[in-house]
Amino acid sequence: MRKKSLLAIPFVVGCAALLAPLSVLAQNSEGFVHQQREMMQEANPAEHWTWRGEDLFHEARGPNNVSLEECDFGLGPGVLEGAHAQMPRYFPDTGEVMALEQRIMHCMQELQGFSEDSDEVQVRHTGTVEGSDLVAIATYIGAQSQGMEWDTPRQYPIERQYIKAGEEMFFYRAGPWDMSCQTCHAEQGKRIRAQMMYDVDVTDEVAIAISWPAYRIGHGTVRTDEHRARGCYYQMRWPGIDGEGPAWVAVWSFLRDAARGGPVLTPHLKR
Amino acid sequence: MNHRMLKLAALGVSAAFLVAGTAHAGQENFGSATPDEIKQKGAELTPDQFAEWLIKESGSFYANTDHPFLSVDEQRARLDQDPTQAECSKYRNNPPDEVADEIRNRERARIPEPANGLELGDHEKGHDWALGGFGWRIGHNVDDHGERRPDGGCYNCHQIGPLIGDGGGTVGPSLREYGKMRGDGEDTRQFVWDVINNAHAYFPCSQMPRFTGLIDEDKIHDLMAYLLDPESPVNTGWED
Repeated sequence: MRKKSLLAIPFVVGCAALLAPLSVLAQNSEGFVHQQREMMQEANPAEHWTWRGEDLFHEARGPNNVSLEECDFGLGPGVLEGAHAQMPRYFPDTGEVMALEQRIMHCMQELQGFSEDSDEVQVRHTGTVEGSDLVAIATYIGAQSQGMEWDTPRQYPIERQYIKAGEEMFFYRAGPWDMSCQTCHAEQGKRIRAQMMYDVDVTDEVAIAISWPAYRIGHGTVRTDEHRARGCYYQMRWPGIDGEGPAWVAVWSFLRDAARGGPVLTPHLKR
Repeated sequence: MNHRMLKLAALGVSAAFLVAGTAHAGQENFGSATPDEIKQKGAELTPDQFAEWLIKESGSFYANTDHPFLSVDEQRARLDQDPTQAECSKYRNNPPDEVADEIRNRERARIPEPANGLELGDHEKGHDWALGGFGWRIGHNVDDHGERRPDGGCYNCHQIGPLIGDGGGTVGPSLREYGKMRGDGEDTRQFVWDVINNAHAYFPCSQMPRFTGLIDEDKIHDLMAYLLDPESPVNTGWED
């Protein structure tokens, strides 16, 4: 299986190179982009990150020489099936609402003993499979929710408050360009240049848009939701958003709630 | 793809790979919060108050301390809302009539007089300023205005010239053949000048940035030419 998929990579990259400019030229390009994605989904290069993440997850690592199998992602230690579909969630052991990346970082530090400043914990945006442990592990865990429905918990009051505050953030206009998330994501069928924008009121559109980690064809690497949020606030001309901060988790809590019942496609394939 | 587009594409790709594991270098977070503080604020505050606290106080956003011309405080100030931003957020860009009138009047009063009248600049340059998206970005990779002046970014949201697929985004109205349909008389020029400077004067809670001070005045005149000059591809380049 692995060998077959490996051989498919040059084909996939070649297709992407050929198809990307065409998608821009097509009169109504979104249908075409969708087709392109469907065609390539079966040979998604993100599989390489999933394999490496699997190795990293089960290997005894770090100063404490233990694996991440004891890490609880909300459904019990080492239970990964459906874990990503049900995050962000409140974790009583830390007293925090955490998204997947933050929970991985927490366990790498607390269980495995990696220091906060170590590359293993800090490198989160990279162009290669080997570049970031966190991205690989997140891809592996995300893949265990593929085909399920987004179902962010709202059991604890703080989880519900994060969802509500995230909604307020979604509409908060600020910065020199006066932008909020609503600027681009509150009407159906709108595009920024050739890129179709999801509409926050359409469950399946949100579900697809927030299906990270995903292999981004244009970047040639897997990206996480942290990377996506950073790019949005950057283009909105806001100050940088910190992937370890609670505001970021609140926005994603709201978006996951907006996607509730829609499909989890991780690891997804994006333009 | 012309040279500018290639250059922009290259910039986009290199920007994507710049940061690797240096999340804390050159970064000063606005505030900080322990898990207990976050829980406490979450329990005490209304959702909109909690959101504002998360944005401004919880350490979730940061200044780039290496920024070539903006201080940490100037970067922090971007998270504060002026009255129009606050009202448009509150009403989710659909203000009741009274508030809409208030916004319209307040923003109209802020539109400057053009220093050199309502002249049309160079439509070819206007094309470049409409296509470019450079300027005002901070965070992980700052736009240095000393190296290049900020652009208008019009193509992000508007169909304008016959260049990229349908000619640009669809968040804003299509401006295809704008001058061909409206001519370039004094009233039209004034309207275009006004809307580029401050769309809220006509469309309260418009999604469009208020470009006064964001792009240089000569660029606004070039953009007016791009829209209104009969020779501009906006008005000549579309087939059928």
